[in-house]
Amino acid sequence: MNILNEWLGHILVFIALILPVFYLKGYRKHGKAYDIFTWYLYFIAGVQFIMSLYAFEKINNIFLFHFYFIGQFIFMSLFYYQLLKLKIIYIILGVGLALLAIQYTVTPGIFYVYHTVGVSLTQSVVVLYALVYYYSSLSKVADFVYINTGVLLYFMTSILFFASGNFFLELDIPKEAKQKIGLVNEALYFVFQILIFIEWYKNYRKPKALFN
Amino acid sequence: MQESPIQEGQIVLIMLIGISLLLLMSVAIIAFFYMSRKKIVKTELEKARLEIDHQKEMLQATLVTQEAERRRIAQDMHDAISSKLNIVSLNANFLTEGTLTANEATTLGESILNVTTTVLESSRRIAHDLLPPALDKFGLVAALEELCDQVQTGGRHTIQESYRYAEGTLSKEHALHVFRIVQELINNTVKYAKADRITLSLQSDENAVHLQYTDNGLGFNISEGKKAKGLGLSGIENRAAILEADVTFQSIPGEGMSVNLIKKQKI
Repeated sequence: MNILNEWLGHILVFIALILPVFYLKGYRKHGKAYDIFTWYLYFIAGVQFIMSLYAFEKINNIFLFHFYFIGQFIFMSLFYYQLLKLKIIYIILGVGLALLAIQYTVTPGIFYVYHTVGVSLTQSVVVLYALVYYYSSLSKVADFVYINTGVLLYFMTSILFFASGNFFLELDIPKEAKQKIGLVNEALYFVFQILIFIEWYKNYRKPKALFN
Repeated sequence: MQESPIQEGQIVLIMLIGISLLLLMSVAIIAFFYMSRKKIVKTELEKARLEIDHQKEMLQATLVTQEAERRRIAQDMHDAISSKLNIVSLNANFLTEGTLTANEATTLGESILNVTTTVLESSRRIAHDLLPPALDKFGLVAALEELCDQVQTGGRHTIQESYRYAEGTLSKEHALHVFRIVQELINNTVKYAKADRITLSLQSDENAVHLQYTDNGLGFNISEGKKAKGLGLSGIENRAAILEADVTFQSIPGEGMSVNLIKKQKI
């Protein structure tokens, strides 16, 4: 279990680092939504890399998690704004960031624990966007369907995992049990990454033909 | 905080169950969307196919009408022009031979004159039927009035006309379509309906052009009438489609028919 966990962790970081390289090939060729998603991948790659460095040095890396979920919220909101063109997404993003800013100023201590409410709410909002995008793409050919599927799948299932983060860390249970749940989360993240890769491989690997 | 091992195990179990349930839920949502999408795309395809079929039918009807029209023009030209010009040519031939008496030559000359006058008249009528000059020169109302006059000259039909149409409301091309529709309707009435009274009204205001046509003839069954190529109802519908106008046929066998055509003006 331990070795499997470790290896899967390494593989996830590796894929996170390699995905943006693939996506960079089509940068500025497939529209704004694609570009924003590429930025998102770079951001995730950066966070994952620094996190694993910290983990390697055995330093507590939990504060990076705040950057992770806030950055994720920002990039995903921008991405879905490009797909849905709904002004409300900007409004929700603005209000969400303002609330978070207030909270961090009032209670800076929150920086050193999991921000369970923040991560649950921001992930739920992104799940909601994914659902709306699914609905809007029901009757037409839509882009980023694989990514959308991945977002829905991973963001929804990981809400519970991240939401219970603090409680879970404090819980005095064997490492084995914690790893079990961590493994489930990692497996789902792996599926998300695979879907991101499939999206690129199927739709953006080759330059778009001008004439079909 | 110390928890008993049983509770810890349960918490892990509950979390795993929770994550599995969420996973199941998201998979269900994704499956639901994919299946609905498939279904919707299928219906859309079906709709598109029907549309294409309809267009094909319209095209075919247009071709049939076009062929019939060509045959009619060819027949008209053959009967009214070619055969008579033959006579002229024959008579002229006699004249050139120079063996005729002065009297015979005059008779032949008169005959040639008569026939050429008829031929001229016929060619004018054929040209006129193809495209009434009044439409181009004086507008839609004048052309319709002329058309109605021609029908009434026959003495078997009376037409009650009412026009409140501002010339220029429709483009020349659209006016021709309206004229053709009326021509086709009158044609049907005269040919099939055994009617003696027709009403025709053409109104226009800033919002729409409204054409109304009724006769008191035999009427017909609408669905059968649309299938019958001879009636030209599909031709009328095609023209209405080009005009982007709504056309409705109303008829009960034995009680005449009425047609309403409304072309909304684009603002």
